[in-house]
Amino acid sequence: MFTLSWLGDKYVDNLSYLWVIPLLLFVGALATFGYTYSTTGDMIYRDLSLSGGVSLTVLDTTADADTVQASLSESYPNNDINVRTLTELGDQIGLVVEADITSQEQDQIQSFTATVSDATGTAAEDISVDSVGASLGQQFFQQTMKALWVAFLFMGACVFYYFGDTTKRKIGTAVVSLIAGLMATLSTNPLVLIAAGILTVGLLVVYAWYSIPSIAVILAAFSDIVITVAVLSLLQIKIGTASIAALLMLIGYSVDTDILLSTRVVKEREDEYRDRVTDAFTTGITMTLTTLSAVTVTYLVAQSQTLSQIMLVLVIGLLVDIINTWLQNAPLLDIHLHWDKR
Amino acid sequence: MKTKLKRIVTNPRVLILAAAVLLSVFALGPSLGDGVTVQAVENDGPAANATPAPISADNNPEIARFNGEPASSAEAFYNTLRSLDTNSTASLTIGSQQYFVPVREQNGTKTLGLRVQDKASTNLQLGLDLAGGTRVILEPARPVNSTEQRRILNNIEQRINAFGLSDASVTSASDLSGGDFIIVEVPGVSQESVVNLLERQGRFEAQIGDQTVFTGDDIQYICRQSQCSGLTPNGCQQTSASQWTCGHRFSITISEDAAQNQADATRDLEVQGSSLSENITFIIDNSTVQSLTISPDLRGQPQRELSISGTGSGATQRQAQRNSLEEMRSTQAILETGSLPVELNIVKTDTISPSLGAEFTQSAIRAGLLAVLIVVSIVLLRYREWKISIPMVITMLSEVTILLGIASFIGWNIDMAAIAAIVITIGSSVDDQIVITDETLGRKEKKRGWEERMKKAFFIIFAAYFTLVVAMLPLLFAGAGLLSGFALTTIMGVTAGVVISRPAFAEMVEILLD
Repeated sequence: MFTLSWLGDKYVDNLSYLWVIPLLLFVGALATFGYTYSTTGDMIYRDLSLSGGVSLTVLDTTADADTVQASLSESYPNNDINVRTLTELGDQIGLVVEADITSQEQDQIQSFTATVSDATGTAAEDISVDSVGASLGQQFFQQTMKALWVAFLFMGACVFYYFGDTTKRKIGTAVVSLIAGLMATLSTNPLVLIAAGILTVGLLVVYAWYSIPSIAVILAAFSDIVITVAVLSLLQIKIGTASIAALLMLIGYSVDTDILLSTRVVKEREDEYRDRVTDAFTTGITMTLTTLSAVTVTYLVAQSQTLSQIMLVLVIGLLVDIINTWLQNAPLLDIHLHWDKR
Repeated sequence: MKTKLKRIVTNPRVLILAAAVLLSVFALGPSLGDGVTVQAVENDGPAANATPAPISADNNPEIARFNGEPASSAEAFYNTLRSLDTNSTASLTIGSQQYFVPVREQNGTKTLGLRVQDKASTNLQLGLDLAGGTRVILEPARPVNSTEQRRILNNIEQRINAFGLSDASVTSASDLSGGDFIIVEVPGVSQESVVNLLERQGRFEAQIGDQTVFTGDDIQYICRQSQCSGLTPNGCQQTSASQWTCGHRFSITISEDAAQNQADATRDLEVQGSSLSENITFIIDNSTVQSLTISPDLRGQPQRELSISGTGSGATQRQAQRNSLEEMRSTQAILETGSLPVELNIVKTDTISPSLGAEFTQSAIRAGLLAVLIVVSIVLLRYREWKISIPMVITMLSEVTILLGIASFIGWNIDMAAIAAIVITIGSSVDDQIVITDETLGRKEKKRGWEERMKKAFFIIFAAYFTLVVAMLPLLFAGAGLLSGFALTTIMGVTAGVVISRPAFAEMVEILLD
């Protein structure tokens, strides 16, 4: 496709100052967190899988969400109730009712289910109920955050193995990453966690000092996650356990293009620099566009909360990744290569 | 062209891919035609007392004939059952054996005491969110050691069996901070009955005054026959306009020692009016189930057979009766299997109605197919070359087949998160194929040999692969194992991809473009 290579040319011509865009985005993301925190007391909007509560799914093509909402709020004035429609290609196929009743209150859940059954005229057996205890939600959040941290540790070691220098350092960073990862996962003691945090920072310093390509890949994946979560916060979209699983997956997709770029630009030096970047750019953009279209289609067709949460994070994340790979990682490599020459 | 095709089908990497796909199809075991299989048999129900032998749900046998007619679907099976007369005898042919089962009526519906399902079209096990059912996640109130953990699992399993649900799965899971969870999954049952069953620790005590005279361990026999268990005759009352309450009772037999204990405790009691000064109180988990007066002629007499009663309520009389019987079965199951070593808290429950599960499955399959379709169109647009698109479609479809084959072979459940992982595998597969293609196509004019170019492509592919796998590893262990299906499926999918199908793709493209 010649348009893609034309875009590639334009891109390389302007490479030297495009990095301003990802920097602005990152600052904007931090500002979003600050704003959300100051208005809601939390940096993100959590769904019930992370905060506790009950969600009922009723397959009913006719019941009106607002009417059901009104009648439920009347019967349960002390609860926070939210009713939304479940649609398939624009047509209503059902309703999702969420309320802040946690799984400890089984009796309440049962009577609430009965009320929803009355309000929608659907038999109680045909209503799907998902309830989560508040403490489990909190636990899930901490766990998945830890998983994210450990994923970064391992990913960093892996990237340094491929793009870093000297076998000794590679083994050293791998061992330290493993130790820090185990400390972070197996312990809940704050002192151990702080120690693991110090090790993590130490590793980052080593990567930054000895291998700009490695730290560039890690930075790109990190900005991907930060900006994606910020976009979700900005749009007031709720985050659940499935979203966090998708963030981990985003690391995988993010490094795909970064590794392609780094390999082409840093490891293969026989071609012209300009060709290497445009080659990587056309391949990488094609990769991201195909994946992006697959996850977008799945997001549009999916009805289940799990599936749409995962796909939405990937849609936003891949868009953000285009910016972070080509406008942040690439200029960093550019600087790195110029330094190397001197 | 012919020689190219020949080179492709004799290429070792392509042969490995073909073998893997064949094995996967074999593991999936797609079966054509319809049929009905036995999913569960109720304890002590009609099917469990069938002549000449009890029907068992082990290995989910297929029902060949029902009352002489071939059994084609679960819906047809239940329709036929509805048309039969209560207390008539139905005949079921399973394998070569013919069974005779009495038709009973329970809560207004006819039952054979077994649950049937449409014969699965593959060996693939669908997770709860696709197949429908109830899942309850419990957490012990305090940390437990491995012995206690095993006891809890055993006990819950027995309790569920005693309740009559034979195809439930009870597993344990732990998380990154050492929390232990017990996960109970029951296909096709409303959440209320399961929750009632699991919520209770089941510590049973009988007290006279402040003295415990016997506990759950002393119960030797719990009657389930109709003559000594069931609804209390004339035991229903309308308590308000929309509230009915119905009583039930069943008898238990306690050990001789326990009966003696009870006799000793009543010996010195005084007679007050028509009964003794203290009641006998039955307590489950610190709440009194029942308090009975003791008649004076039982003073000092060992009494081995006792009756326990309780109530259930509902909006209509029929509902109250049903709930009361369910409550009775739940109490019986709890008494029979004894108490748990520790109290369990319910931390999460999910019920997915089978219709929603079916809806979800359909939309997920549609999503997967659409994803493949759009990816192929984009690749066609980008390269305008069938020599690339066709191998790409073959590779993607093989990867999904191999992934599902592995899933059915090792018997892990395909749930919603696993379907997301399949879409993700397709995405990563295409990514790698584009790297291979661009390395082959775009740089054709340059002097490097094919071997070297593939080495470059697979350097990128493996670097990306290992990074993805290590990033997914922590998720295998986080959060009560609820997301491990996602991580496992992704890891399996990309592994099968980089080891089997993506090398075969490289060979196919190389030969075709040669």
